Amino acid sequence: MDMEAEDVMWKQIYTKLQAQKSVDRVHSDHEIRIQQVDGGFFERFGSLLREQAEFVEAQEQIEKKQVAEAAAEVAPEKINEDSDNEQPLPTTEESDEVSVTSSDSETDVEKDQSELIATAWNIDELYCEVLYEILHNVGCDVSYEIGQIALFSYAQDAFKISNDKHNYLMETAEKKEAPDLMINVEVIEAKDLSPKDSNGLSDPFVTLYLASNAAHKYNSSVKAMTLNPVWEEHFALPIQENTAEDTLCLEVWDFDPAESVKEKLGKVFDVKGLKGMRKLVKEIAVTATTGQHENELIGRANIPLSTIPASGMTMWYSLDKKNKITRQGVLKVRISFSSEKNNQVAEQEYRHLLRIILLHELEMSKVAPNWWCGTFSPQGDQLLTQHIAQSGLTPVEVSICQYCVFAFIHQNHGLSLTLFSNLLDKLIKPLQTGGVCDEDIKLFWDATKKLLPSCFSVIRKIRRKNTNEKTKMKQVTEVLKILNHIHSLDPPSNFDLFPRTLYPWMTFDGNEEANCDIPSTLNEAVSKGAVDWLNHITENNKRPDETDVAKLQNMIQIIQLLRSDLQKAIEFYDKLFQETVNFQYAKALYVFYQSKLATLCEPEVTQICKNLKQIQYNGYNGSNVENPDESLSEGTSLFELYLAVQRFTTLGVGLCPADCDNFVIKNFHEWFYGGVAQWLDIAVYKALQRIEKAVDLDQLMHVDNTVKYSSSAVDTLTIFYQVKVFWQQLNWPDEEGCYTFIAKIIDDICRCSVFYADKMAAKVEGLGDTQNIYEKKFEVTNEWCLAINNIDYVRETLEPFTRDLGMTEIIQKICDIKSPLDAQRCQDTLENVIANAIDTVRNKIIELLETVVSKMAPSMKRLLIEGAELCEQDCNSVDRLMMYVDNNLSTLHRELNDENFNRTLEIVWICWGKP
Amino acid sequence: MRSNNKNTLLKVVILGDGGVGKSCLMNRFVSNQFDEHSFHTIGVEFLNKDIEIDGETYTLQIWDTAGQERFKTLRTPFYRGSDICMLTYAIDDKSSFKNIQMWKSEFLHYADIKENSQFPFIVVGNKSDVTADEREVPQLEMETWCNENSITSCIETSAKNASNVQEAFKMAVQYWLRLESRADKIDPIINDTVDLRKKHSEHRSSCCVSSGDE
Repeated sequence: MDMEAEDVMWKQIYTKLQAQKSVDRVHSDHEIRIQQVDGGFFERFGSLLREQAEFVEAQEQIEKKQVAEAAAEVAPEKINEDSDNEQPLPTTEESDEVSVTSSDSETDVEKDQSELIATAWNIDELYCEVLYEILHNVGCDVSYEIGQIALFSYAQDAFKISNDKHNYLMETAEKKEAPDLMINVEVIEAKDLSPKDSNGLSDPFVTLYLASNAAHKYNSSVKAMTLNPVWEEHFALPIQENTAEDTLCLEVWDFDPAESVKEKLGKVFDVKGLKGMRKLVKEIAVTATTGQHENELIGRANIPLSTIPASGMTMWYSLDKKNKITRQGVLKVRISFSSEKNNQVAEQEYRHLLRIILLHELEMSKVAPNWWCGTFSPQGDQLLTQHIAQSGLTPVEVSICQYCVFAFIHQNHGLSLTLFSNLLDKLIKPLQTGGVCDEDIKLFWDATKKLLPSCFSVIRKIRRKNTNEKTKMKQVTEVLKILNHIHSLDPPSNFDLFPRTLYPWMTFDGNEEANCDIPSTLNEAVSKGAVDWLNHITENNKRPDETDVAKLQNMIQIIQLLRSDLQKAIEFYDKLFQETVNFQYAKALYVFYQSKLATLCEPEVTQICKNLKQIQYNGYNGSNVENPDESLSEGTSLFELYLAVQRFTTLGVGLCPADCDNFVIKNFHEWFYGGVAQWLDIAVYKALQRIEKAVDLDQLMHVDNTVKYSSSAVDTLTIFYQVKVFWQQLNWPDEEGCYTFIAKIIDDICRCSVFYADKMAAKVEGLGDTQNIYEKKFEVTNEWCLAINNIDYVRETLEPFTRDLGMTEIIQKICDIKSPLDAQRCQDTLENVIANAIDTVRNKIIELLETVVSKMAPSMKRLLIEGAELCEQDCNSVDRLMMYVDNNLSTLHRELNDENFNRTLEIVWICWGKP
Repeated sequence: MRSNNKNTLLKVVILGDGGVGKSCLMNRFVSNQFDEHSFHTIGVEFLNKDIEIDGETYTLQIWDTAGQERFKTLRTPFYRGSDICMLTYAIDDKSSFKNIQMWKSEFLHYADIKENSQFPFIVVGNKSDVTADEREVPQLEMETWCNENSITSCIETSAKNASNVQEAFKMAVQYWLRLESRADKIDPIINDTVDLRKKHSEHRSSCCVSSGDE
């Protein structure tokens, strides 16, 4: 049989075995009876263990898929988040306690007492101010549907003001003069102006005034020789009564002075130095605004103040001119309202108002923690917008105020972190470029100090199951964005951004003076989260019955949990962490887990392997292992654990290819040496037991029409197959151990084949002998032939079996790491063992054939003698002899394979050829 | 004819500290070769060799083991089913001699031999080629130890100059034969069931025989 043919045959056996299994999941009676011998020992370690591993893998795939789906769902959401119109539908189940710091006893104990008192002190005053603002609402966006009455009653609720007090304060507000409002106009730029000068260009400037006070005109500078001027100049126009009916007039003119701007500009080249230049520019401007001129109007735009929203706007207006149908160009202006109020006062009032309204709204809407993300009721929104407009707060100031108030409230009632990351998006630039006053910078950092603990809390509690994946992803995304933003800023010197009281969970590495920053605290939070999680699962998986099996199962459970945690980290969080804050999240986790796991498992496993009961041989008849079930499930659990750790290690190699050699878990297999050696020892014993049973049960009938062997041969090969599957799963990492175990397995399998041959021979021993009154006779039976074929069939599989164990590969590896000589010796050893077994079994077959032939001999001899005696009278006896020989040989020819039949013929000639 | 060549098959395990020359002994015995710079054995090594005693041929299946402690879990599975155990030390290494006690215990434990039962151990002091100055274990000390442990076979050998190597293995088989015949008289059944090898060893023939049939 050449190698290829052997391969084919070997594969056919497996396919047959597998096909049998899959066709009828209900195991055949025969199979069950065979497995009963040892409680399905080989199946448990071979195919069942593998099936289990596959199942675990499948489970993980499902989990991964769920996480991936959640991640995919979150992604498009992000677009909506920015527009602030997302209205989450919170339910209590989904509410997440994670960032509600109060539940962590991490609340800022100081609670900003001073600010609270200040609020109480000013509350009447602020209320009065709000009433006053309602009375003098500005802007087109004043909602008439809401109406003053509704606003008054909303404010009264929010401030919790009694009716009497309301009436009193209302009177005060009404008595106050109308506000000193300004309209702020920034003339930004114009485009496509119609040319007025001979050169096809214009020298445009802008004049602006209110219709109610046309005398009070404001002019911009003149931009020479352009149809697309850029001004970016600011103007503030005081608003009179009847703001709603007033109109803002914007006019664009072409400048045409006595001494043209052009001429003046010609002087530019004579001017020396920066100072001179400024002077000249000023002069040009003056010429434009006051000089005698016969300017020509390019176009104008009238903007009714009632069309301007209280929160302001930026808009392109088209320029018209009387008698001209065509457009004269477009002008871009930014318009907003403001007051001359003291800015600090306005900000403080805004912060207080925001806090009162937000608390009121949170209370009214009963919104779940961590869900509110900036959407007020129309009333609340209007009050706040009016205050911003009437106080003249800039967008940056407003954002700072919101950031502070939200951070304050967030300490006790979690708000959506999206809120903060969006505010930071707006604030980061002004903060970096010095566009924020010192007072506000201080407020910003105070608020940040309050905000950060909840951010790290999210990281620490990333594994809590009290929220769905999607929400969690979003939270983490926002946290990382926030951290990244804050990390890009420098806190004021001597500012303690990480007060000890807010971080009770931090170890500070025993260094009391440790200087924390965002990256180091993030690292702490990640490891603290991992520690907590590990502690949690080890606690949870503790079982009262601390048997070895329970301990092993416990470790398996823990590894599976850690693995799925890592899977999740890799699938989604890792990318997020790396992209946002350049932090190798999954790797950090793995490094931590693998060392903990080694600490946890190594002593236990080593101990359990050491304690494994040594098997007592008392022959193969009958079960004599003490408590076989216990030692069985112990063994199974041990290898389940082995496979779990193995998979965990593989994960690490993929995750950190550069560092995996330094991991303690890399040498995990060393914990199991004793266990594997012990298992192999038990396995031989079980195998011999099972072979005996298989031979016992064998009916000596063809397994099916296509083959010439019977059930026990298949059963024996099943054992070999299971041992092989077990070994392949072990995938033993170290070469020397691998070689030695293979040597052991091959030796054992060889012993099994020899044993099988013995048992088979013993089984057919007395078959075929018949006796009647006249003669003792032997007939070659199918059983004899099947027994011989069976033995031969098992023998044939030995060599391919050893190849499947990976013999060639391991010899090659030894050659690489040791020396070719060592490899040669190892190979010789393995080949010697196999050759021995094959020869022994072959001899067994020949022995059996000899037996057959010798059993036939007496009958033939007798027939020959009879024939010789009666030769002359009767040729019947010769016929009978020929019939006997013919019958038996044809049975042999029909039933034996060719090789064995030829062997038989040889033996016949040798035996009978003898005198 | 084959039937005349039915050899008895014996499993021999060679134990002893790393470096005492176990592999050298085996190689000298099996292939009459000696390599001064031989390597550490990886796990185990296996070779066959026929030996003739009193006109009877025995096939020895010799398992040479790695002496280093780190191989312990790897070599012990091979002890089971042994017929003969060769405890080796180097006569120029006192500690290797001291350790044969440990090797004996390890063997008895893992081979699962019943306490107090007679087992054919043979003690081999290798490197008898060293000078008198280098010798650390006097022959007498070895013989005393063997007496105390009821081991009747002991010999000093040199794998290097091929002294006593064949004799050592021969002595081991003879010892086995003595014990075997005694055991057969006392209780042949026990022997039949305790060991796997022996059972089929009676039917066993060496590999070279069958080749003639093909």
